[in-house]
Amino acid sequence: MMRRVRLGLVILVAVVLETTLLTHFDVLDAAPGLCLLCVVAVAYEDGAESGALFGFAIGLVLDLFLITPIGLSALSFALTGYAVGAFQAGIVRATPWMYPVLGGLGGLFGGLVFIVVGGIVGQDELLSMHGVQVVVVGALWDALLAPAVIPLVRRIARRPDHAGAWRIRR
Amino acid sequence: VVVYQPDHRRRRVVLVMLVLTALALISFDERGSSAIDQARSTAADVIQPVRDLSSSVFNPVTDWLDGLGRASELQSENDRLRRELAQAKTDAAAGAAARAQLKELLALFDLPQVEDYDGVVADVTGQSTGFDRTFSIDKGTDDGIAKDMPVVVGGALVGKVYRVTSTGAVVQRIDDRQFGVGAQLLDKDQLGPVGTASGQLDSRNLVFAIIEGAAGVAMKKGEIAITNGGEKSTYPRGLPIGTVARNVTAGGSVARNAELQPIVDLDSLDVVKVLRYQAPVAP
Repeated sequence: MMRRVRLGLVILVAVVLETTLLTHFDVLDAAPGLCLLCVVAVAYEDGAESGALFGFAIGLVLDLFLITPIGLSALSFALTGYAVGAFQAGIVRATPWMYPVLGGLGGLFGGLVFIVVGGIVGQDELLSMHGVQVVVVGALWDALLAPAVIPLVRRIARRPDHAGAWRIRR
Repeated sequence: VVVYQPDHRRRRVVLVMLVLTALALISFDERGSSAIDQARSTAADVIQPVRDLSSSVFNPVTDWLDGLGRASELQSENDRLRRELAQAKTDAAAGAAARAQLKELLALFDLPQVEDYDGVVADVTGQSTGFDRTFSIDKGTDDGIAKDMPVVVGGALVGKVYRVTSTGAVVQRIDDRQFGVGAQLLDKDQLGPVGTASGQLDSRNLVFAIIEGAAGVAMKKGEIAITNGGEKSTYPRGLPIGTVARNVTAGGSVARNAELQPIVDLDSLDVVKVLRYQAPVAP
């Protein structure tokens, strides 16, 4: 229960920061994607299912403040959470450079899903060179911030019993 | 002891359910669902106070940081603005008679004027970047704001109310890729061609596309584009939108588009005014 409250607060803080403070740091129309980094962190910590559910929830809240159709961020974040969670299941040992790589790849994957699905559902201007540029620069931002954000959110998302991807039954 | 991996089938089912739910939401929203609008409005109302609080904390800090990074740019901008102010004072004196004449004409034809609409002053609480160019304000339906109302700064159009809740609203900027408005160019002493001004994804400037009078039209740098108004328009006539960024000559029957530079710096908005304008009802 307490973990859910903590993750709820992460959603609130990340959405507020992404739509207020971080918009001042835009470079070539791209600002840091704090919400997506939180999705990557939760998925890395707790696996594909949690990553997808958390991604859907935080994406849905973020969608409230965007004018793209509601559900677009939720969909791209849920798929990103699932992909990162599935990827982390194959990692034996985490290394320090893992966080920027995960942040960058997560940002790239999430951004590409966003513009492709957006293009399919009628936001066809998103499927352009400028759209790709925004995604790439945003992914670089995510890679830069990942070493600070991912460990912090992983700690918040950790289960009390630390039961991760594997369970033991006697 | 049996050690086993989590249920892969279950997590795939969860993902499929989430994807289907998201696609359904996107589909409903694209068609325009009042239930989604209501849910969006309620949820936004819950979060809005937190955003307002955080923006009041962060805005002075970010303004200060922006100022540090742009010190030399601000100095030259200050010099340029002083020169423009001097020129504007001269123009204002020269234009006073013309404005009085215009006002008389508008009254004669019983056309609405910007001064006729009361406005709601609102603080900008957040900007969005990336694919949407919008900003949030701290006033909503409780203050009489409604969807599609024009938003101005110093009389110049900066956007329109895209979505509104009881305590806040999201404003679509004029340079957003989905923004469009009927416009007319205004030379110093005459009305120019009529067209549409619309935002672009890959530029901060708007595109002005002529829809009539294309042959042999020249659009000179510095000409002002104003809202064209009209019976079905959600904007009153005469709101400045932007200035032509460079000279354009439209030859033959094919018009070339002009780029409009917004009059107001849309990235540095702090306070805006929402005009409580309602489009005139056709008789």
